[in-house]
Amino acid sequence: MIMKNEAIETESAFLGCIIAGATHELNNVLAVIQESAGLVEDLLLFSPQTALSSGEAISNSLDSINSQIQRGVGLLTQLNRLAHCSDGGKQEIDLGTALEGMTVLCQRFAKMKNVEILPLEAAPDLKLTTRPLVLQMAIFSAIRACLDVVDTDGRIRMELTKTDNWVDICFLIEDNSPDSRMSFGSDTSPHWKALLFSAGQLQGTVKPALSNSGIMLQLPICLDSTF
Amino acid sequence: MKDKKILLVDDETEFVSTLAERLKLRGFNVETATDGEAAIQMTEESRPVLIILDLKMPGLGGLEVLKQVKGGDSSIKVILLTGHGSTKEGIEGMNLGASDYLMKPINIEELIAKMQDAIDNG
Repeated sequence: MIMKNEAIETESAFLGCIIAGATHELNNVLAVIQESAGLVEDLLLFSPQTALSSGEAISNSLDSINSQIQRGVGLLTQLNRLAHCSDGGKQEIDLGTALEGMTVLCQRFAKMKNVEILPLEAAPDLKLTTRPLVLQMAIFSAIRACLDVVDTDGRIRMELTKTDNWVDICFLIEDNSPDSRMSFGSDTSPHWKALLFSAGQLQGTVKPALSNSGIMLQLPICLDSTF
Repeated sequence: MKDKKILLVDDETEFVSTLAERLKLRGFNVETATDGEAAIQMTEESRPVLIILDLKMPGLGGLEVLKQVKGGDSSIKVILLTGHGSTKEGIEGMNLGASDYLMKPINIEELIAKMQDAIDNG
């Protein structure tokens, strides 16, 4: 019972964190759309006779509205996917989609440190049967643990190595302070602890490991694997 | 109020440039900054009477900027902007000397009313 409660609390904290970050970003998206639409309105209201000569400003505002809508749709798509992951049991999950989703949902946290998260150069076509929410939590915790130690203006790059039965997802930190990785595995790192907890929930089949370059997650990839 | 210098600070570049443009169309004298460090530097250089300041920014956050601005010149008025649904940080900012706070997305007429009130009444 204690383990079950701990799992619920950890999963709730994970979802709360994701929702807080994504809704903050969505709020910014709406704020930009509101100001861009407002600027078009202002140009027509304040100087209707010269509005046509303000064509570039109007065009820029419309471009901005369109790009913010795309940004908002991207966030909502990933939030919706995550919501469908939380249905409970094991499901088939596409690893590339899961990594792409967490990259988008972690952008807010990365932005607060001026850190860039680089997605995989080519999304893998790998399907796993697992508990998707817990796997996403493991990926999220790995990225957040990297964000805890990466320098401002640094980068986190994902790399994937495949063998016959396993895939290694590496979250590589690129900055100027390799010594800072020493704090990775400390008890004070809540994201590292959350990563270990998620790995435990997946019955140890997701194996997290630390290195001087970052964090590695090792997962079985055989199609009939049901971890 | 329109001849007085106003500094608008937000890390969301498109938001800050568009809102500044809208205020300029209404005759305001507006400068912009997209991070806390730049905001501090511009405050020292151009001495705005009012700063419209986002709370959540990378690096130096809004509350820290507020403390430094008020520590340097307590007469500078500050209105905080926040994207959070909670009013907690806005109230914390007011306890640190901010005149008021607004939730994003904002209503420009409400912002202007708050700007006027901050300059007139502090």
